[in-house]
Amino acid sequence: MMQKRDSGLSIAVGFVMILLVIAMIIGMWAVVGVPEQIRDAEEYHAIKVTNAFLDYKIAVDSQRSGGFTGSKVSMLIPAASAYADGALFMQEDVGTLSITGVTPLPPIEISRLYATFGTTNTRIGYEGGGVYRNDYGRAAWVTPPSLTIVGSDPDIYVYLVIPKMQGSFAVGSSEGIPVDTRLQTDSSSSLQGSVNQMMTITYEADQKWDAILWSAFFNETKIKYGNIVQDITVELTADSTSIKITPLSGGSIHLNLKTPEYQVDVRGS
Amino acid sequence: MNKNADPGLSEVVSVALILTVLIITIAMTALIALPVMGTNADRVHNGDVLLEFCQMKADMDTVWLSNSTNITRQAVFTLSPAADRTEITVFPNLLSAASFGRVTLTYGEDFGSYAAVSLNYTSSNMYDEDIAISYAGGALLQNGRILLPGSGVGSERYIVAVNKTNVPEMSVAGAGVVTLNYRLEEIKLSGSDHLCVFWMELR
Repeated sequence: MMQKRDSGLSIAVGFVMILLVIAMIIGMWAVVGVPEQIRDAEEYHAIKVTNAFLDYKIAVDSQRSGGFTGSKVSMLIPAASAYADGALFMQEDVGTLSITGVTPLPPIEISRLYATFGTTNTRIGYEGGGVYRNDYGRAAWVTPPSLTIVGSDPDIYVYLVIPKMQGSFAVGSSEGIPVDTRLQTDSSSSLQGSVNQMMTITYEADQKWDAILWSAFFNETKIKYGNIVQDITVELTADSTSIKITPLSGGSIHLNLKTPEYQVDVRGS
Repeated sequence: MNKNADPGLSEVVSVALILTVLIITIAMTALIALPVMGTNADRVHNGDVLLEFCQMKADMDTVWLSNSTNITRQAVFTLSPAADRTEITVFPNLLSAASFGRVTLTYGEDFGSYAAVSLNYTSSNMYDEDIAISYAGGALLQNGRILLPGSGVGSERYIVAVNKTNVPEMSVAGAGVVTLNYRLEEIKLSGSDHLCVFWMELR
């Protein structure tokens, strides 16, 4: 009699267990799978944004090197991904670059065009002619600004290109953001220091991570060109960094500085 | 003990319950999940194709700005969301392969033996709205609206063009990938316009 009373129990338990397994699969996918897929999609999107900024750098460099003063190029920065909105910012005077040791030069204001998206922990931007990526407050150059040193014993020639980007905006969008960039002027100056005169390039940043970023650039320059000059030293303080270049004994430093000016704006749709 | 109790009833009820759950699951998937995933995949793909055209425009602008002649480059356009890796799905949505696209190369503004190039993408989406993207002589248009204008210096335009004798009009459609091969041949003056003459082919 007892056997008959429990005859449906195992099937009922089996049914509940099947439901539990289905619920567990759905729960695991929602808790683990979806965030992982979103992270993967966001990382893929970050690479796209980085590539867009690299294209941007190549385009504005080509405007200058091709002699297209007055020309305008329009590009789309894909700030937003399919799953999160994005924003594009243009900030002037985020830092100041000053050069001493040759004929006195006025400080050069540095601007920053950058995009942020998703959780806003990643910021990718264009600054001082280079493209950087900042993750959780730590930044690295994707491609650094342009500084080349050529030795001509005993003199050395320093070629520095610092684009001046003019414009100020902050635009949020759920799509790509079109950016117009016009090359206004392409000014160039050649300067020479006195014999054995050291040249110092100092970058004063508004934020510490930016100073560290430029310090990394100066250190790369030191590693790259340290063997063709007398000495290169890099210093980093709280919000500023500097590189000191000492020419070979009896030589002097020739500085070729290019500071093309661009007007940057978002295109209204 | 209740003499009217049916010892086989619980099995029948369980089977019926399981079948009900299965039917509801299949119906929910067919009516809600698949269209949502398909719409999502189409929407993501629309955005990706637009970015592919933007990338191509940026690359072409860079080519003529730097006067890089006789170097063949490629641009890739995906015609279907089937291979789109940025979509989020529980399992591959096979129905997304039901969306198609077409890329055409036609002649635009005429300059004698040359013509401004017009590269057009039109989608035939299964779920989401269709999109039309055009690259016309250097400008990028989305559904007929200028998204990125062409380049110029003052009143002088720089127009991306093709030599009509070397580059025929062509069209490729399907659910796969289209490759555009292009190469800058020369930059010619035509009145106040500069023609950036490219060789192009769709594959």
